[in-house]
Amino acid sequence: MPNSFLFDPNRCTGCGACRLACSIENQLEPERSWRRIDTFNRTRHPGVPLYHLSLACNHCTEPACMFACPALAYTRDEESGAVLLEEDKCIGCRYCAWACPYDAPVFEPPRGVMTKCTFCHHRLQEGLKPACASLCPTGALDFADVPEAELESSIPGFPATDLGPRVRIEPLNESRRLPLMTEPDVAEPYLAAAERPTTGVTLRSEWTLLLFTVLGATLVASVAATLASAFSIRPIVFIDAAVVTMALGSFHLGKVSRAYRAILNPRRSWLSREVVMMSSFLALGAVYLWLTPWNRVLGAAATLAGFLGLFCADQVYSVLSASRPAYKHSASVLWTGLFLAAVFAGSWFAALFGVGKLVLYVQRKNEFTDAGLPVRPWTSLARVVFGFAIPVALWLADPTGTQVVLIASVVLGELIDRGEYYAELESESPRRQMGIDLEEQIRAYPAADRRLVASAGD
Amino acid sequence: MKVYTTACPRNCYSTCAMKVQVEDGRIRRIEPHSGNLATPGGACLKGLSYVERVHSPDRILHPLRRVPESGAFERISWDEALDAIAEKLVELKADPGPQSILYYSGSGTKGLLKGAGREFWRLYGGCTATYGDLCWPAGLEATRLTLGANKHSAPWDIADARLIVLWGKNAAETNIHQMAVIDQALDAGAKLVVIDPRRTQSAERAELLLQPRPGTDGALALAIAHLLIGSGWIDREYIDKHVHGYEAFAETVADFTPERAAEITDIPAEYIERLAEHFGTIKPVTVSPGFGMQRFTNSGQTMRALLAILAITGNIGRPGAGWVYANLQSHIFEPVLDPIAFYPPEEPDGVVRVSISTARLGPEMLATQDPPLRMAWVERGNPITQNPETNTVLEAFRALDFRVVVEQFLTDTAREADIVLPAKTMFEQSDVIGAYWHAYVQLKQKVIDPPGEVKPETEIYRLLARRLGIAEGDDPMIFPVSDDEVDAYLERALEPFPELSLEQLREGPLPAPGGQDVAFSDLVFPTPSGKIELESAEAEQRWGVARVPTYEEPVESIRAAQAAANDHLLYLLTPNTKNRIHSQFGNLKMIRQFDDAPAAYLHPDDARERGIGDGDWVRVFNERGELELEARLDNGLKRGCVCVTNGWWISEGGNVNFTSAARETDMGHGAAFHENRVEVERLSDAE
Repeated sequence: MPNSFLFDPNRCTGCGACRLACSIENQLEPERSWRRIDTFNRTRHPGVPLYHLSLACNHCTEPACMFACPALAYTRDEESGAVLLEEDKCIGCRYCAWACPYDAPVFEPPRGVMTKCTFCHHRLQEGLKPACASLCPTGALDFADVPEAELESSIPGFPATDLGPRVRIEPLNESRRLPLMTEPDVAEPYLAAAERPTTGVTLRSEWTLLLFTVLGATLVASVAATLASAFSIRPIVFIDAAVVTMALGSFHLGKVSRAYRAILNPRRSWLSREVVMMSSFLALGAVYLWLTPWNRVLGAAATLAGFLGLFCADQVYSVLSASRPAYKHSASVLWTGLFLAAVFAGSWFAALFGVGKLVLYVQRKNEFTDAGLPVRPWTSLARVVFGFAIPVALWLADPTGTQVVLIASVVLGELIDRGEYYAELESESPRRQMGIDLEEQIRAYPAADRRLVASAGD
Repeated sequence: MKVYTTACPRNCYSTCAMKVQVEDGRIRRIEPHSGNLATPGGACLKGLSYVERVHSPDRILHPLRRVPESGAFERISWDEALDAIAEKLVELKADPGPQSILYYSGSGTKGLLKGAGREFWRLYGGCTATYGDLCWPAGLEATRLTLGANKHSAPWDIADARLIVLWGKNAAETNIHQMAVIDQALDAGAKLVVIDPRRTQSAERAELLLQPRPGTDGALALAIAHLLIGSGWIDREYIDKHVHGYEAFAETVADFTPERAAEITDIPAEYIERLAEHFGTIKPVTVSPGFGMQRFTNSGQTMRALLAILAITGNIGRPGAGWVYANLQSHIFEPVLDPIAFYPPEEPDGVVRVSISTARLGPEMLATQDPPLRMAWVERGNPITQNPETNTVLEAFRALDFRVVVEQFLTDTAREADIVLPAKTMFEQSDVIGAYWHAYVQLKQKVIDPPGEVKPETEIYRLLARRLGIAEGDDPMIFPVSDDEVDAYLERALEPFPELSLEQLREGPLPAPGGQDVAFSDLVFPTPSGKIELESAEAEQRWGVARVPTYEEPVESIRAAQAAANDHLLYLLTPNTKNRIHSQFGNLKMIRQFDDAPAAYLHPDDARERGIGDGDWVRVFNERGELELEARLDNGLKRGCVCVTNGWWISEGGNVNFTSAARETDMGHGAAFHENRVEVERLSDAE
């Protein structure tokens, strides 16, 4: 039964009753309602229409949230088609919110878990429509069985995906999209910062993940170099660092007590795969270094798990947009791991990986320049100086000398690079899409002339 | 879970019917009620938020006394509160007399039981009361003078219109259910024109948005009439049969060219011509004017000019056509209808002194003598924030000896009280209500008992009457208290109408008897001439305006200010928003998530001239007062205007009436407080 939301932006006035109806029905704090209303062109740029999108979960045919969830907390109710989240299985990692392009899952801080729209399936069972659809005063929001073939939504601000969202958004009616105005002209139209594209992911919010990934890469590199007998990490240092890494990795979980559930979805979730591989690496690495340093098979297994873990870590971010895919991104943790392993080992491979990373970094900055994104020249300089210049200088000064400062400098460079990566990441969302589409329409203005011209003879 | 039928009694067009689900004594849900054909989609967000409002932790649940030293409130018992009030009433009645008490009852809630208050003060020996109204009198009086009665077609009739003009009305925010019907008309090919200095939500559906200089709509209307007459776009036969004073009107608009109107209104002549062409060539036409436009010193004449357009094109009394302003067809319980009902009596009865203009509440309270005012009793209202010239209103209230406020929350007015008595909500006592957009009579049904120590006003008055030795205090037909007494009171009111019974009203709304779905379809106009009066002798006699609609520049015109080198050069627009009914609802979490703090909206060019950026902290001020708030830029606002929505409490940081003027409209004793000239400046140290 393809239950779907039907939304007509031509009728919506942005009143907010649907959002409120949702929070009342489901007993949510009003500001954590599962339905959101985003407004296109809030500052009323001349030449661009103003309308609203009221969106909750679209209960997609291919739910990105469900596939991404490492804890198998998502299920589908076969009867209603609702994608449901079982709260007592959720670990509060918020990965589903990254994966969902419609911003449907909502974090519930007091309980440390995600919550989301249920299609009001308790109401559906009573033959009622979801609360939001039954309480729209203008009839803009409705709910019905719609054949999948008719679920076509194409409107600026609505992210285009192939997930099969069960929503039909009526196209903007051309005859109603913009009035002829007597005062269309603004010398310098203003665009509010809040209307520009948002990223959804920031370095400030994800700093623990930055440290987790770089520390993980460093540990993988240290074990690899130890295995190659070119380096020796003290077991106690490794174990302490492993504990810190695990802590950093679980720091942002809303429900640390259920952290074990993170490994339950290796079949579909890169996050589960990463957790499985990184945990295996840390465990095998600790046993190898501490108890059986002679067992090179164990060391090789640990190293393999580690690099696989770093590969998975890169893939975790594939649900977000970045300037380029991980395998050719200078901030890839897999490349960081390989680079550091060569540095630890004092191998000539370090030069190879280092030059490769530098080239990727410069290319990325070039792309930023072309796209009009912030290049951050001082940060870039710091990344090159710490990551490459100082280590090369130290090595040239004394190729056989102490490695500690050199390694620390390389790791610092990698941290800066990856820190920039977190600031660059963007989570798809209607708000972000609205910002992008609005900027595009504003660029087209005043191509569309909205002023009434006096007819001939006046 | 029990389900009850009720209706929302707020001062709002929609007056929605609703079903209330009650669970364990708490309101759990508000659901739509299909019995009211005007509001089938269900309540707006404010209606839904009753779930919070009724059970809010901020609600006043027992009497409070203000501690004079600290200004804080302390809980007292009902006996203490009523004894203190009774003692004061006895003292004041002896000296200086009962009329030293101001009885102020606002529009916070509708209902027949409102009558208990008026009755109490009469039995007590008298009081002073206000006349006029803050909201809509200019248009009511203009309509009464022109059409003879304030009624309009059923809300759904607009679906048959082919041209709809929302003139100064933002229905999307203030009458959302009208938008649903307008959508039906648009789907059927109708055109929508919006006239508003703001690019409102309603304007997004419009073909044409005209943004006049505030207060100049009358000039626009007269120029349209000029063009209609000049082009022969009039209904000659209709005029001959049903319009009085056409010739005199045609004469006054003869020189009202679109160029002259363009100069006055800032609307280019070609837009005026386009709109005139629409009026002349499209039928039927419905004009729905808003209330914001009623609050200027020329509003009555403006509204008469708008009405004239419909009259000369034959757009009154026909399906899909008409004047959707005020529909008092459900006001069947009132012997005299608004606006006459709120005019001062021609022969004062010596008991209730109706002497204070609501529009000039502050100055006239201060100026009242013989006897001067010593005490105020306020119920269903929040005059400190909602009446013009807040500083003077505050001064007048603070000059009194004693103030009693009956309230649900600690509003700005309640904060000024000596004693605050807890007020019931609409769910805690039954009452019968009418509406002013649709013509349903509805029962606002009691669904829960009042929480805490809350007592309905009828019980408060009964207890006070007993203390004062007023024998009628125990008469349940004056002060009904128990549910049975309230039902009996309401049944008596319904008795003259066999079509209506309490029994039926419990199930849903009933159309008011004798109503017309298409207003004036009989083409009977209860005016002196029996026709639509474009020329009115009464207008001249009663209000001293011209017999025909004319345009006068508003008193607080920016142009006059420019000529006088006054530096307050922005019009302050203070519209209502979807998030509040005046000063109600804004204190709820459910509402604040949409609108958290007052803001001053400015056109980007006006802002740049003043060095103001989005998010800057600014001062909006004039000689009457000021408020400090955040600036936001709005590309769609007419230049020369600044916009702050009304209804914010002082304690929330943004009461717009600090700057508004205590001034009456040209007719109807309305408040001309939308004529409000201000300046805005950036505060150097943003707080």
